[in-house]
Amino acid sequence: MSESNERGALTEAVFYILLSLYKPLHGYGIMQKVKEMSSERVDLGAGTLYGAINTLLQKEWIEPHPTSKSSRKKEYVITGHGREAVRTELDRLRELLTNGAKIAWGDPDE
Amino acid sequence: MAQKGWALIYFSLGRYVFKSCSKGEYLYRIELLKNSPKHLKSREYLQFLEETGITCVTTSMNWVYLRKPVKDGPFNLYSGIDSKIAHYKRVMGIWIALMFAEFAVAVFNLMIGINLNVPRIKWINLSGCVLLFILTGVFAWLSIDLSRKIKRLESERIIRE
Repeated sequence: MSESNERGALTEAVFYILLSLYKPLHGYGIMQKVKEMSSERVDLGAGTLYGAINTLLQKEWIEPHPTSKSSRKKEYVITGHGREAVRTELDRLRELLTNGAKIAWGDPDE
Repeated sequence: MAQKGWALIYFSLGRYVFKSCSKGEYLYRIELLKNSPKHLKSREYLQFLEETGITCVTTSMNWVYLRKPVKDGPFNLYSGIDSKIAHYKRVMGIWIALMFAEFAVAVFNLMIGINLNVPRIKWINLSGCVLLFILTGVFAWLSIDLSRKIKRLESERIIRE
């Protein structure tokens, strides 16, 4: 069980959750934000989101954001580790895009 | 029932209680929790669902009956293949446990039935045994059905999330 998955691809849900948390948001806010960013394409299920939030908290990629006492809803925000994970993923995606574009779209320079 | 204007408000031991609502006002989903609904983890989860507009209507053992107003859009608790697989595996665990429980009691009844020399009681044991074997079969069928679904999702998971 000690196999490291640190370099694997992030799921689409996790990638969008992390992006949505560059500004603090509560659970429902994350769902709305992700829907908005993906033009309604990614509609996170509440159960899926809850599982993802708990895993991300454990990995310390996100952390609880202190909120005013008037609001009972828990807010979360991305951490340094989380930002690092997003940057690593972006590098990976860039590699995919570069290779994909070269071969599937055809690069006029080749 | 909610389509016909009846909203579920309570369930216990096979008894459903409905209250009238506008036709098609709510969408319902049933979910199996890992812990009892009174457990802190379950309460946190239900509180989280509440914040996203999902209400827990009633509970029965570890099952929870959830509802969401139709006007708030589609109601899917699980959007990724992985979380769907985890959900189905939880449910399958229950079916398999019930299958073994029914099977054990069926065998027990069969042994009593065979060894008993009182004809009237012997008959009760043997017919009970047949019923329990049928139940074992039902739970086995449910488990096989789910395991097929899980296998299909797992092979799908290899090529996409």
